[in-house]
Amino acid sequence: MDKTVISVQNLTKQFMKQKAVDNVSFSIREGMICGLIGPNGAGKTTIMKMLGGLVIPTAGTIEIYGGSGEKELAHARSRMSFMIETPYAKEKMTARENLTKQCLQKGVPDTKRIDEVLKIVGLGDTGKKKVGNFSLGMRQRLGIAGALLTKPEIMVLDEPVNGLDPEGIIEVRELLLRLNRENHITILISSHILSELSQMCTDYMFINNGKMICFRSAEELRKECSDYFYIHTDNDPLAAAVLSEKLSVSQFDTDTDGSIRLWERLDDIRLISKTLYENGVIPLSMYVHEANLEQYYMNMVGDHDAEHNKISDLHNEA
Amino acid sequence: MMLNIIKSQIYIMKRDIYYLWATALTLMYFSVIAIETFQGYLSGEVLTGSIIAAFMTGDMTIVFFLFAVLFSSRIAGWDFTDKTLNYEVIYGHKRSSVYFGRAIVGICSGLLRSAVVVVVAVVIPTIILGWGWSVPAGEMILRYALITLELVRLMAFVIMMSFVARSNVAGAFAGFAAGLIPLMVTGLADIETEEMHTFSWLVSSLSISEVSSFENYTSDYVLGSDIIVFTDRIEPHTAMLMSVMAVVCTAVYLLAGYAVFRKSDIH
Repeated sequence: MDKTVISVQNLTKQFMKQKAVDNVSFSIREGMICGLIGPNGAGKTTIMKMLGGLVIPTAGTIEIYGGSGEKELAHARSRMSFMIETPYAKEKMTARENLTKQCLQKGVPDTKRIDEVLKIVGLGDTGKKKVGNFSLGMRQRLGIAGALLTKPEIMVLDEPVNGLDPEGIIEVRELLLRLNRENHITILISSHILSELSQMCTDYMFINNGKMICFRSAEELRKECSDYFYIHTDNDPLAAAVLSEKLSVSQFDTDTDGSIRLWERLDDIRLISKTLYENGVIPLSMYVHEANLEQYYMNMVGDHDAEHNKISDLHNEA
Repeated sequence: MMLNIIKSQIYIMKRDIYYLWATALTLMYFSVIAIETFQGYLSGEVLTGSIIAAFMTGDMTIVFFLFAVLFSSRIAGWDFTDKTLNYEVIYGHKRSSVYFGRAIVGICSGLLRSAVVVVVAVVIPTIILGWGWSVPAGEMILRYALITLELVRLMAFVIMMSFVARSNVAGAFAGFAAGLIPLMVTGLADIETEEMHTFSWLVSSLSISEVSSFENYTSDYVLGSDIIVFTDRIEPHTAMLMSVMAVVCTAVYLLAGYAVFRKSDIH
């Protein structure tokens, strides 16, 4: 997973007086399933639209497969598939007719592929039913079918499970995981259903108010979202040494304020406090912190909003 | 890649009932005016291809105008409404292919339907009845060629407006306004068009209105029959000016529309 397929540097989009995307930079390597997480209006869809060429960046660069010129990006997009916002379809045409039209647009000569993708997404028996009579879930499936027509190398999906029932969500998740595993397809996916993303993503980007908050691998995020033991003492460096040497603890780290976060031996609070005390360390605060992805996300967004408001207040005062 | 855009547009047109309705209603209108025009030919004059062409071309031009505006605006502007155009961009088509592919289909579609009307209304009667003496064939061919160039100019304008406004309705409205307002203004102000072979005449619908109609004629008696001979002729320099202006305006409109589309966000 070493080759970078998408590289974005200082990407900015300003609409009138509002910055929808503000100086965002990230790289996506081949084979990643990258989750793009943020609240409504955070800039997720705008980033995807800029990758797709629908929205022209105000500043910054986009490189896909190493190319950044208009011609190179157009060629790169032919190797990608996008599903942005509500999938489009001609309402007075059937699913098959819509996919036939897309085959013509994409230059896909083999219309047998239409049968394959309709079967994959469970729309093989829609027959002459017009798309105008489809449910939202069926339209989402048709959008995914369209995205699969050309056997893409990269898929950019904006909330692909929106409107699907639980069974449909599982099917889409398993489909995407299979495509990534068997065909090495790189996937950039946004969703509000964090628990769903946590079951498939290898990496995560958190975005709020148009700014990138952080980029974490699944491993890093798992660590940050696990329950941990918070310890603050009168001598945190000594406390860390005692934990390591006396209790053979290895899964811990120290925060910027020196406090310790411990991810093992969460049931041994008495032993830990006794050992610290016996070695001259006085515990000032100790508790088990229960975390999950949603809480992690809410905390991060909340902190970012607080920082954003603080900066705005400073500007207003000035 | 542009070829893929063109193929998909043709596929859509075959399945979009709008085009069927637009064609049917326009032809119904043409049928009504054709019947009205020929009610005066129940006796007397010999009916020939040249008589039909001379009398009908003015009315046919209205039909050409309707085809041009209705088809080019729909092809250029409708796909903004359901994101067909969005997906062509994200499929990897360059914006130039998306724009000019549609322009080609829009213009060809309008011209093709207009050509069918000419074949049915003029060519087939000519084959059956003969051309006659009312207008030289070369004069009519020149006029049809100029009408074609003017229609292309009009369609380029409609396509530009449809892309700028991202709406087929706005494009059609602009086309109708461009076609009708100059005629209404000159009619209300009682301005003689001979006085107006100027730049404004060349870029407006007044030019197409003049080349599609005959004002002056005389009567003659040939081979035992009364015939009407139309004496209006398009001057060579007028034809040259019209041609050059039509080509220049077409290029300007299409390039201006593309310049706006190329740098605009598509939502």
